Amino acid sequence: MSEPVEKENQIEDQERTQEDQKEPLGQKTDTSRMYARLLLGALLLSGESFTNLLRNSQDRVESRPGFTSTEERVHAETELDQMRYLLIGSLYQAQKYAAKGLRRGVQFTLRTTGAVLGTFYALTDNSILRPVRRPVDAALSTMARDADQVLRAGRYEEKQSKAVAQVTMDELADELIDYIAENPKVTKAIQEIVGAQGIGMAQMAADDVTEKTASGDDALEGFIRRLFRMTPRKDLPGSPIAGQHHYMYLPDNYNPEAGDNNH
Amino acid sequence: MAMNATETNDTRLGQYAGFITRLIAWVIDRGIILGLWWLVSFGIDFLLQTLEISNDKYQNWIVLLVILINIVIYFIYYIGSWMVAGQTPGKSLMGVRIVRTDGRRLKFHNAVIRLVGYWISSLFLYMGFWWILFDSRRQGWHDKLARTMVVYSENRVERSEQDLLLRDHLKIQREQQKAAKSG
Repeated sequence: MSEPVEKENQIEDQERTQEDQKEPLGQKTDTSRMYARLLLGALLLSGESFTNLLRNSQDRVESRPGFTSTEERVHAETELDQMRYLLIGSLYQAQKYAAKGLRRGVQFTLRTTGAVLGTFYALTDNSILRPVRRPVDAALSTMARDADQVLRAGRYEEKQSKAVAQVTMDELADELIDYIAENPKVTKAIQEIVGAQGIGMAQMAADDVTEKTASGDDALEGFIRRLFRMTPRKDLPGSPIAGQHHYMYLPDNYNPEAGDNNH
Repeated sequence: MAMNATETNDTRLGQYAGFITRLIAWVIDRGIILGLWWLVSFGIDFLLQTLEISNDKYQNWIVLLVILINIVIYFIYYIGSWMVAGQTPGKSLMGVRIVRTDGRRLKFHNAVIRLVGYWISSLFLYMGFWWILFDSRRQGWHDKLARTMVVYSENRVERSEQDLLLRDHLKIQREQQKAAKSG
């Protein structure tokens, strides 16, 4: 393939990629793509934040004056300790080997492909076999073009996704704050929740569940009694400690009604 | 004291707890116990592998050890919870507690009989548990045997307030005792 034609092709490809990535004028991005972008962006942003957090923690730990070196033994090691260290060390070593293996694998593949292609070109570099090279050249060029397009699309999508997620989160936060500020009932409810000491949302939710199951107890009993043709029970059976708070835990001399007289 | 079945949870305080609440509490407790058993089995297996002790050589002993530890966990979980707090974690979550028929805290023998009673209640297709539905005091066979009953506890919000009051009371009592000793 001659050089001017190759250049022309490259320019065409670039233009096509740019066209692919741009949203058509007057046409909105489709919903699934937007959600995908939001999801991807949120993942990328949270991943970045978490990595930064980890990096900061690592730096802080390493800058501590008492940070122990790898050679230092903190205390007399038992066999169990050594087994644990061996296990942890092996995990890191395995990770290193895996990364090294992957790098070597990629390098080997590239080298082998280069060698095979080099040999192929050397063997077909004559007027008789030149026509054989054409389909191979075309296939390779298409592959390279596709890969390049995917790469560019990925680069573009990552940037877009992060921006979309950032803007959406900011907007959501603003909306939420506005909503809270404009609704005194919500503000009051939040103040009550935050202000109530020792009473969590979980406690209230659990109380709600308890109340519902307690009603279920009566309903089931009523149903079973009807099923077995027993007389329906209108009243619950009386208990000797009905209405008594914390009866079993209280000291004998404690009387909640007495207030200060208790002590 | 009798009360209408449709009244709210506040008026249920101290009343006999019903079947569904107790069943859910029982399932939660079983789940926790199973989790503990799994942890023990996993821990022992890990220890054996770490110390390179062959499983085949001591297989019977290992099985026996696991069973023994699990039985101990089972006893400690139930008896300990009943005696210390009057409720297992499952019962606490469902807002019920176990008391003696006179309303007092369980004694050791009540707790042991109740636990053994669980197995007796499990016989004949869990008949002892189904009994709760028909009994006038909502007692299962295990409750009858151990002379215990399961009652609704106060709701958690109310209990937090009660706990604060009780804590203050106990603190003042301790200070008074200290002062009396030193004085």
